[in-house]
Amino acid sequence: MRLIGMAALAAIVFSGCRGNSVLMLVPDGKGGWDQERVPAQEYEARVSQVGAVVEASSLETIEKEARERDGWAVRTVAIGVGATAEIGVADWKVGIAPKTRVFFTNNAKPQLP
Amino acid sequence: MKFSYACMTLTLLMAATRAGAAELPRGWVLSPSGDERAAEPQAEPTDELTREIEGALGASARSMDAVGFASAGRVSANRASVPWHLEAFTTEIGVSASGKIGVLSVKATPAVQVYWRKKPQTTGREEAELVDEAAAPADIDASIDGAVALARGEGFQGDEGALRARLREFASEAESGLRAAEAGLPGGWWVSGFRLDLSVDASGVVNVVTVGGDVRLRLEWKRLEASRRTGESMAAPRSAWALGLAEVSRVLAEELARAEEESEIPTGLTATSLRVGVGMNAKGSVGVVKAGGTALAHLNFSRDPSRSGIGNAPVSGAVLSLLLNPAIHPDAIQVPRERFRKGLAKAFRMSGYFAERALRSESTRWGLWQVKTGLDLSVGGDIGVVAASGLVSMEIAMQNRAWGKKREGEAVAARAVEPLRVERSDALAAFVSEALSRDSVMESVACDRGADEDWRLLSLLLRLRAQVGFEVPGFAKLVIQPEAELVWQRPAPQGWGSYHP
Repeated sequence: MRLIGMAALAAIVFSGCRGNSVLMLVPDGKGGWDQERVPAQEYEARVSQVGAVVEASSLETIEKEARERDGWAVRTVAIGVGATAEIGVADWKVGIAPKTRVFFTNNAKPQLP
Repeated sequence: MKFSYACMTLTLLMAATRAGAAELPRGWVLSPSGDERAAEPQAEPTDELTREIEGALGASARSMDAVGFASAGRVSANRASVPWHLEAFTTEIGVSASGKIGVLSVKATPAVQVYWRKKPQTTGREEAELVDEAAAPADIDASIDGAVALARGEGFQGDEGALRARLREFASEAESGLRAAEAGLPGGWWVSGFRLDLSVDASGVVNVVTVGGDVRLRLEWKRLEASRRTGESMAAPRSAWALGLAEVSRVLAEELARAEEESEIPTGLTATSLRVGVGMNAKGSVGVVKAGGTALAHLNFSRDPSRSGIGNAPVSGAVLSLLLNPAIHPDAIQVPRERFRKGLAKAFRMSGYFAERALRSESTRWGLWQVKTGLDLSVGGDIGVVAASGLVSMEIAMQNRAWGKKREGEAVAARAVEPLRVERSDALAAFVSEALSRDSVMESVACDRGADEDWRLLSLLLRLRAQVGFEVPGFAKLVIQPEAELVWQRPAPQGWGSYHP
């Protein structure tokens, strides 16, 4: 009985953790999809890190190399990032980043593709 | 006995931690075959699902709070051109065919794309734009030359003359068809643009891509309006493609207006556009393309919120033509408009649900600007959100009505966020530099003959994917595979601007 009580308590505690997690859709390795719950703190850290690296690596390059030619100009650059391949659920902790696109523009009213 | 207890403990723990139950209502996602789920009740999302989606979007919005400081102070809403800055990012949500939902982790078709934009730090007010900055008129020849030049730069080795002729014929007829359609469009929806997607395969062959394909080059025409009209000189449409496009545009505009009236868009949001793939089969039927069919172009409908719906005006035609994979369905399927309208009304409701979740999830520095919902069609006219393994047939965009309005206390909160310091990735910088160097398209788009037509090539988009993944500095074993999308535009000449009916 004590064990059941502990299990029930653990279940309640873990259930409470759902509010601090993010649900992700990941390949199940069999051609389908499964859901994976990721701690919100880890999720936010990865998105932040990826966003910051994309900004640090792209903004200066775009400023220097964005072309303008015969009246045409590159006005918006979107850098999309995601995982390298379809990785199984178990690999979440080592290599997956949430898929996102980061937009740079020099247009006050940009066209975001 | 102890073993039983252990099993029970494990079961309870797994039940508590596994990510179940957060699924879309049955009927919101079409079956893998694209048919409706027979006799499915139109259930509503559960409170648990709503909490999950809002939790994911909230975490996404917060996650970028520490990013974007390198662009601080560069944004000005008062000028057309501003210094380069980080303007926006997206969160992409996917759905499985069985309705499982979550933030996407890999390349797949997103059901929902949430666009977050950095909240304005000025006291100015920026209204949501229905049509983005207008581009200059350029005659069709110049536009096609640009596309051909880019194809050449990307390895096209075929007959350039034939490609040019094919694109020119397509674009000319599309323009005349769209002009014919404009004359009778009802309600607040009008055709604001169309786009052509091309791909270049490994052997250098340029193709018009199927819906959802790996787009490499996109040409977008948008309607402009001159302050002084110079007369209606455009020839009437003659080809089956142009005539069919005009009819499909008229039917869609009518149904959009009616369906919107039948659905309730959440407060604070506006449905601003619908993009739909259209094509023509071997028998000359023009219709809406279900994923798997070949789309010749994508029509973009925009909405003027100040205009009312269609009301009780008579509708033209009783059916909407739907084109599927010609290998399976060589003939166009005639979908009763009543069924299609119900599907559209459901699509507005589903789009509104996701957009409303995003609206409640803003962070201190990033606000909701727009939500796009990818949709798929059934052969019977029903509409559901697209599955992660599926292809988008239609896309509805909803915008935040309050975007750009400054709210009390936000500037103070934004200053409290600490910037995130990271190492630059030289590999990623090199990839961006390589993408920017592909400007061969501009070599041939030098002429602007000042044509006074009102359908113009607005922009060119080039998408490039990296062949290899890059490690993210400072985050062990986190590997990303980037892609770059470059949008080329040019300014409108004097006397031209975005069209508003």
